[in-house]
Amino acid sequence: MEPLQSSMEVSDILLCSLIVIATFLFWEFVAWITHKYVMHGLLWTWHKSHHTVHEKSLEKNDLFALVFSLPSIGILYYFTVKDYNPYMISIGIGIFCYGFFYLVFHDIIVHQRLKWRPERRSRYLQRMIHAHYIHHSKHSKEGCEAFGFLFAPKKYEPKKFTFKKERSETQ
Amino acid sequence: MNSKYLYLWINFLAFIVPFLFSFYPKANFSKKWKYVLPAIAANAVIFLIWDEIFTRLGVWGFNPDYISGIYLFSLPLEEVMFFFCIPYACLFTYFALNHLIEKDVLFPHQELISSLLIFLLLIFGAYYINQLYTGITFMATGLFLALIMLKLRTRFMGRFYVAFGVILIPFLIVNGILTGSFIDEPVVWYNNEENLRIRIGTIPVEDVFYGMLMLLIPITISEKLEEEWKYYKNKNPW
Repeated sequence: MEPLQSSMEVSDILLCSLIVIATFLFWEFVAWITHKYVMHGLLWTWHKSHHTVHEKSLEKNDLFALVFSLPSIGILYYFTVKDYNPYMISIGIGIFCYGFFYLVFHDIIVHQRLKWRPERRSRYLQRMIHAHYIHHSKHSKEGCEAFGFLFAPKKYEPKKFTFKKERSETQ
Repeated sequence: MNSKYLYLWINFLAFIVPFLFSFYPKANFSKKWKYVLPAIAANAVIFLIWDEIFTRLGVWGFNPDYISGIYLFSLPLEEVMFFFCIPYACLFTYFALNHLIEKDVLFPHQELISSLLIFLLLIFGAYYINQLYTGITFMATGLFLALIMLKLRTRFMGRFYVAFGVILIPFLIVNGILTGSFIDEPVVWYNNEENLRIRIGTIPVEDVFYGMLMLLIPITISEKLEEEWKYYKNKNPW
């Protein structure tokens, strides 16, 4: 067995942190194209369940979460156990962080699949939430807008923000 | 023909035909010079600095058999001229095609095309960052495309992709010759340690995206200048 790599230079730690942040931001872009062109495109058959009002706890759309976790699991497994590479591990962590952000923001805060909400909300967080409400104002493959999650342009700034408490209101 | 003037001839021939057609009255390209020439100059400054650095680092270099022997820092005169002649020819082609093809056929797909290019260029660019030509070219082109799509939000990318598709034909001929197709040795050689070693004939695949950026920057500047100029003239008629 290879000896454990225990020492890292400060510059390496900085570089790895930068890679984590860059990957996290880049993944918003990946999520945005996939959402706009794949989920509202070829794989609408899966995503449709997420734009339909229903009472089930799981929806077919949850398969996407499984698929999107594969790159992170694969990278983290391969570059820790098989071929140690801290830069690739940083990429895996960046993707994982985006997935965690997505779970908390999208599934919990917006869609209320768990009944929890932050009591103090910044203006920007309200804008992000509002943008996704607008995305869900249509139940069709075409004609939707606001495909991003982390990045919400200024035009989605709500005039008066009301938090939706029921999951069915957000579907 | 003396082979020492080969590179000079390539520049001259690429430039002269578009130049002569620049005064065709029905689509007079010379009327756009006030936007196009500053755009080409600004672009040339960026590419010349980049070129000087890459030449010193040995990413690429020039074969003395095919150049006149006049140098500006590390760059042969012909290489300096390249960044004026080729963008001029390409911008001419872009504007000529806009005149000839009325419909903006790729407009509905421009965002998807740009998104896929940004995605692939940034991933491959980051992965091959140690190969300087690949890493820097892919990252720079990917980031510039992202700037256009997300920040500048220009409306010309559909037309750009059509023009770039057409320009790939002269690109393959000119870059083919420069990298040694049809002649004994390359005019410009590339250090294979710094690229992907994937060649289209003799042309390194990175050249396609290098060429794309070399067109995209002057077109963006020139379109922006034209837009600003028209806006300014509308507000202040004299």
